[in-house]
Amino acid sequence: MALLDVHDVEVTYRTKEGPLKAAEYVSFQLKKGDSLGLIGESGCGKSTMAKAILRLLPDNGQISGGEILFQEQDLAKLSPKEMRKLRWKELSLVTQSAMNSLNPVYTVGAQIVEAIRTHEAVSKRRAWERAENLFRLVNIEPSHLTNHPHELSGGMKQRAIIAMALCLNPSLVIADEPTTALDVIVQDRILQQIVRIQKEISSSLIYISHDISVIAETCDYVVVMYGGHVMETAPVREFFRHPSHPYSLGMQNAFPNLEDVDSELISIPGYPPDLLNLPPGCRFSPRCPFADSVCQEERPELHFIGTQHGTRCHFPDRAEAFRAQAKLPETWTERPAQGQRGVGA
Amino acid sequence: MTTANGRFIEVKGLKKYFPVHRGFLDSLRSQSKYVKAIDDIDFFIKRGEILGLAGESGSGKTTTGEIMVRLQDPTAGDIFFDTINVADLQGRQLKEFRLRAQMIFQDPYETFSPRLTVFGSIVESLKVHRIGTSAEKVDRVKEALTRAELRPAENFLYRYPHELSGGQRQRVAIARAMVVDPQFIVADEPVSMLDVSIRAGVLNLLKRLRSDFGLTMLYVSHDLSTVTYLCDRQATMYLGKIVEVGPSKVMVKGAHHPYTKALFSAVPLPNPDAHRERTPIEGEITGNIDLPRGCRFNPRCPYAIDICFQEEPDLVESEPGHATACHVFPARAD
Ligand SMILES: Nc1ncnc2c1ncn2[C@@H]1O[C@H](COP(=O)(O)OP(=O)(O)OP(=O)(O)O)[C@@H](O)[C@H]1O
Ligand SMILES: [Mg+2]
Repeated sequence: MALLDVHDVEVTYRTKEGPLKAAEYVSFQLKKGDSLGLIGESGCGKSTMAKAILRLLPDNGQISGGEILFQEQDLAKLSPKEMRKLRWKELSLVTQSAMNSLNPVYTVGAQIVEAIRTHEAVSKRRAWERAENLFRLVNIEPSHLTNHPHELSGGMKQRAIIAMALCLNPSLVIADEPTTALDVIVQDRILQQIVRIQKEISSSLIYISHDISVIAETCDYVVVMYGGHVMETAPVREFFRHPSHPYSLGMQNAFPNLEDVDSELISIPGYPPDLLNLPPGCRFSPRCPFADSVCQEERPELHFIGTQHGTRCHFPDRAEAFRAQAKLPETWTERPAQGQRGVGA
Repeated sequence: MTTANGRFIEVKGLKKYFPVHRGFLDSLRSQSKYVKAIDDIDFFIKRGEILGLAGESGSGKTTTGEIMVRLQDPTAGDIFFDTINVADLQGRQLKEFRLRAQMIFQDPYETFSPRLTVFGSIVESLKVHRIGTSAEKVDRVKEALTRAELRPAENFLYRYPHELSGGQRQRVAIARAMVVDPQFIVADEPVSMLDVSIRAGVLNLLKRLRSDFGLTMLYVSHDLSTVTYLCDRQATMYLGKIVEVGPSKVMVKGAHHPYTKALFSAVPLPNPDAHRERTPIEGEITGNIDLPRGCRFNPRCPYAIDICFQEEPDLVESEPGHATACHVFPARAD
């Protein structure tokens, strides 16, 4: 039984231009102790899914379909009050902007103690000891607990936030681009820590990023989103060895790799879809070099080509041929009609 | 024309200090402190070459880039551009220089006036420099858009920035730089705000501009994977100093400076089985007001020995074209 079973979730935002479906038919599972990387480009719906799971969508957003089964209860149906009890205790969130969410008036230690004592009946002293252990866990000298947020460097603040997200031993941690604002070296150090801690406290992790290499090194499973749909889902090795969706193939081609500095990068022509003006069939079809008329007309299902490997493509059987052709730059050269439906066109 | 040794651009002893006022008492004692954003650097770029400038925020890369196109004035130093020293140009000469050296900025969302069409933004530099008749201006803008691979150009001329995607905006920025037919372009993090699928296209466009028009470029970025992909040679900056410079393909395999090594080893790899050997450096980049004695990297360096706390190391060549400012690496005979 999965810890988290996201099933055909749909999220709609009310906007001036009409309803905007930022996620549709999103399904994936996550077992206890496993980590899942949610990847995709800006606007594909990653943060929307994080907020939907935590029920932190803004006022104009709502879960308009599907189920989010967490420990066998549907989060989509819980009352705000029931949800508040679960948040932090069972489900916690680390975001890029969380660094700014620390209260400047109180010491970091006081804030962690407060968080612990809001959810658990423990003495201040016990809570403080736990805060010290958490700081050790994220490699900050516990004496820094008596610092105010502004006295910590960016990297330390982000680690303090991680400590806070972990302070109640949640079963699921969602990290939404937690290192994006930090310098590369600090970024890498925090990434290492997240992985180590997640294994140590055996919580489950959803790691959101647009960087496929971060996911490659951090996660057990990969879910690729594009234009609000899940395009491919697979165990991480399977995803890097046998990517099957043309979008995944394009993304892997476009990504610079320090292990292979001689290969030319190949970009995907065109632009991601405008969610208010979606192409009727496969959302990737306007940019897909393999698209056929069926792709322009019908939405493909997520076809399973292995027990845990799904691809939302009309041609799951041609994945191997696609993989070979996708390596050739001429496969991806722009066709005149393309980009017409994209954001900028 | 190029200098005798094939160097198109040569920078010598470049410094940029910003005064910091730290309070009333300091000003009474008239003790002015300085942020040494650039602290005496030398480098060159050959004609048609792309040099990368890498480093964390606060290392001085952007300031260096902006000084190279004279958007900022240097505190000291020479910038030879085709044998002319442009470091102190003023007035009409500076204006002429600006035709030859252009800049592309990081944020495609902020570099355009929302009220100007693509044509309006690009034509501005032609107007400033009084280039061409009205009809010629239109032609040049179209040609620049075509060079930036916004085709057909007519479809983009009268769009507003909000009608363009991030990638398209960055291409308009490239067109705007290209419209005056520059010889040199500084691109400061031009792809860091762009999505992966779009990023590769812009990088390849920069490569093509170099090969098709012989442009010389300075590419500024904290991301060593794009620096290594795009640049012929790269320089690592740390707190205002160049600590290593060499050919990209050599540095990616065998960087010498612990800081360059740490930067390379911090780049995640798109391979679940990769085992990165990380260079363990400590802490975070410090401010550059009160620099430590000796090597400015010593507070973070796991290899520092006595001399590193006494003397600032010079950039020394270990092989032709590959130089490092480190007392420890590569192991030296002296
Ligand atoms: N509050 C909102 N109201 C209306 N539309 C929204 C709102 N929040 C997000 N959207 C839209 O929903 C879509 C998905 O946005 P989301 O933030 O989930 O993307 P993301 O994958 O997290 O992107 P990024 O990588 O940029 O963080 C986008 O088209 C976005 O413009
Ligand atoms: Mg997001």
